[in-house]
Amino acid sequence: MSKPDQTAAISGELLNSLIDGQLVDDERQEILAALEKDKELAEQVCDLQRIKQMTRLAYDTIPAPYPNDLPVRRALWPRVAAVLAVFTLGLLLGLSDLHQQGSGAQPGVHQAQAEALTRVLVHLASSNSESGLSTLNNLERMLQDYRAKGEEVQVEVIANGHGINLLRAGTTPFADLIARLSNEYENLTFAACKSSIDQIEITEGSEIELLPQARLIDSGVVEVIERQKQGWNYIRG
Amino acid sequence: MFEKRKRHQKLTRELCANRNRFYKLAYSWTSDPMLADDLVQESMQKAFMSFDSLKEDAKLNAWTCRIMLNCYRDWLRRQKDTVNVDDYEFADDQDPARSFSQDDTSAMVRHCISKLNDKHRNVVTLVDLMELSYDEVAQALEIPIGTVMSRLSRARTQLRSLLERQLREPATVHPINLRRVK
Repeated sequence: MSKPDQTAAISGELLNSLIDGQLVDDERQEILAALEKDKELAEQVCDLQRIKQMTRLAYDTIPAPYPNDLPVRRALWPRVAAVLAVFTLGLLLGLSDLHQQGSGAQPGVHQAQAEALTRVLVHLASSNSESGLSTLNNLERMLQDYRAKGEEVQVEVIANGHGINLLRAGTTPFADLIARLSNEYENLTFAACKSSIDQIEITEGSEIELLPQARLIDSGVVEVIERQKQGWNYIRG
Repeated sequence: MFEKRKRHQKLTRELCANRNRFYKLAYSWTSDPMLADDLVQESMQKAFMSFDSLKEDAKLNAWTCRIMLNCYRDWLRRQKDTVNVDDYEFADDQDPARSFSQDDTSAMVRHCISKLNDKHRNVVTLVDLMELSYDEVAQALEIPIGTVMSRLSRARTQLRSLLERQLREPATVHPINLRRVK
């Protein structure tokens, strides 16, 4: 490979622009005409083209961590319409206070009450055990607090990236704590991102075993977004 | 409101379809599969939540690259108490006990790209891996287009020198750069 002549009439910047398709027609024609007359310049262009190709190809062998056939999200509108219908029914029945507990309430009101639950999403993206412990302790205090107040709360912990290690059997230092919390609180669930797990398995060359309390989800990030769109409160662990 | 949701769904689909490409870009910056995955997840999450601030849908990829670069810079800043950002050496995905073989060109190129300084690496990867135009790179990096062109030219020149050196010294053992992790 020869060194480009930065002092040539046609600069290195222009040669790069040529191989990147960034020139307008006139400029391109002008440089192509010059290349026909100047063999050294033509070699420089070939070198640049080769380097560009090598850069592109260099990352093709990196395993792709995400599935190409992502599931298409279900349309929100039917669910939104259903919730609006429930609220409308509640209002018509004079039951606008959805927090009020009533044994004789209509089924639709129960559903509306469910919609009024406090829902919390805890996102674990780091394997840092110190912050993991702090997150789980805070989580337990929050669950105790809601239980003491007699208010309902639903909590889901979603782990992805390095956070998977906190739900990984044999790796996490919190297996007992998670098992205990899961036993004590039916309203607490754990989920692990399959994309991240696939990536770790490719990197480590061995299969990952999750804690029995953790369920698998296709994509942690999509789940986090969807839950937030549904009104879940987001806490980064 | 309905139109807005439709637009968000369309942008979400486009972003999801490009996740592996963003991953390769993140990998080219970090040389670390898990960190690259974290970067992609974090930046896509931010993008999903900020679609309203995207002015032109056609610039989605460049806009997301900008977010990812900011996420990466934030990550680097968070390492400040352990490593000086200016002295930060990028991790190399090579086994230190292994020399390059003739058929390991891809690994050799990745190794050389990891040796570029971050300004050069950013430009060359945005152009070659993300296939952004110079104008889009200029917007993503918030620099003039002339600077994009000069950095790219210097980056490829440096990359060529590094590759030549590797080809001349195929038996060289490349020490892995150690990074302290909190």
